[in-house]
Amino acid sequence: MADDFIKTLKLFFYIQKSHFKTAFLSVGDALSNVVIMLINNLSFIFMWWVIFHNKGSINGWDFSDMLLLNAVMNNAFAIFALFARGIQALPEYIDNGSLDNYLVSPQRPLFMIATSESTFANWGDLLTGLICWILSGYTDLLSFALMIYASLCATAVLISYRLLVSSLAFFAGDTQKLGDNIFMAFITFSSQPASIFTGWYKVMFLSIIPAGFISLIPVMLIKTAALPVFLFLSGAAVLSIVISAAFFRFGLKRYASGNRFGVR
Amino acid sequence: MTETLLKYGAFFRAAFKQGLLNRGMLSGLLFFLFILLFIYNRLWEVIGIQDNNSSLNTIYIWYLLFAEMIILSLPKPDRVLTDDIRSGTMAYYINKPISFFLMRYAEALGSMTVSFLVMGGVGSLMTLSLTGVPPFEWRYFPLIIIMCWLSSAINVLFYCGIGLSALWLESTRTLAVAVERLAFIFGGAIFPLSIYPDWFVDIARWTPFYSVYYLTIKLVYDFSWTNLFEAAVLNSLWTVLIVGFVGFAYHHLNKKVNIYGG
Repeated sequence: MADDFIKTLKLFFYIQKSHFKTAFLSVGDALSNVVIMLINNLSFIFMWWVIFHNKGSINGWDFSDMLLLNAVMNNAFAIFALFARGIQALPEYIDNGSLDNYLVSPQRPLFMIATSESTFANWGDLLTGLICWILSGYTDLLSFALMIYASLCATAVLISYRLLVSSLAFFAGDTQKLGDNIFMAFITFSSQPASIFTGWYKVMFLSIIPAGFISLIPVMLIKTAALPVFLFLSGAAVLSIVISAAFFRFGLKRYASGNRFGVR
Repeated sequence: MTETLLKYGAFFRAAFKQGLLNRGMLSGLLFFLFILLFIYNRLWEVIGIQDNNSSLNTIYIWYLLFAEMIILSLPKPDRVLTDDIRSGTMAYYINKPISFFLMRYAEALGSMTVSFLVMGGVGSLMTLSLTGVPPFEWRYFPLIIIMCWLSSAINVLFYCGIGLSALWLESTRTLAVAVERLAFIFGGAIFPLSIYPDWFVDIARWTPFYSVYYLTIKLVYDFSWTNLFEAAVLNSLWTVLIVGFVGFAYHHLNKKVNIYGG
């Protein structure tokens, strides 16, 4: 078991090294994309600063809450885009039959699919996360540890949601664009001040589109360090992994090979 | 002149028809537009209740709709032109009795117009159902639509210019993304520039995005003939500058063209 884990870890680092090498084939491009991503994220944050500067707070949320949200969300999205981006391409793999290549691999198919793609520019998101956390004012050691933990839980929810949406391709054809749009909607929901969703909106925010586990609950955890919030977020992360992995396996059973012929 | 217009009109119509058939892309655009309108309507509703201003969401959601019509309808002509230049495809067109650049521009205009009109029609109904009444008088609606379509056409031209810069740049995609972000922030794509600090607006004024996006879209909630005139004059000025750059780049392109392979 432990041996297996170490082997998988070694493979993971090997794949990441090759992604790095690919990105650095053009150093200028790679670095400028990171900087542009950073500027893009900071321009969003500037936009929110303008709103909060004008309004003070929005339904109890202030700018430091928004910075914490951006820290967690950017970290979660960066980890997804750097280390598990392949999940986004799953519908394409299913539609064109290239999923077969991953199924015959001696490693777990989901691991191989997830790590098959990486976007180097999203290192800019990690930098944004760090900047937002520093600016938020919650810079003590406990808050930092909670921010890291909340980011990892948010990553689990985000990746699980993407896997769930991507796995729809096992049941219907040509779902790449639909999946991308649902995921984009999920990200857009996550990037708003969570306090605007009240009543039934909040129920939806924590169920059908579980964006609250990327924004509302992580921010609550970092601010309060409360055990019930910690358990709630951890439970949601575990549950989302279990549900999405089960849905993926269920879909995989239905998958019939694309009979794609090619040389690798 | 009429013959020339008919020639490029044919490219426009072909791209328009092709765009209409791409239902997956159109429904995706509408879905994303609906989510944006829904979320930002909620945001402005909450802020409106806080500020005792119930018309806040009406103003800002209609503004957002027209801003997104300009932004989301852009068909990425920069990528098409860059690919044409890099792959040498343009060499096939250069000896034809058409301008390669105008052909691509007409195609991009056709694709943009489909998305623009579909989002305008369905988006207006969505926004109307969210806000009840629009912040403008209906008699000005056609003028606002025409002004926003013209802004979209300038936007397409701008991105075509970025595509042509593949002559000098290694990666035009990076430049396109950078311009997109600048447009987003200096054009007030989500929130109008009226809520930004004065120092920031003073900087934005010197960019094309100020008039192409903000001044044009502002007509939605602040229509006056003076504002319309100001937007039209500034947009014309920026169009002249962009056309100047495109003409210069295209002239060089014709000289430098290389044919790769067959």
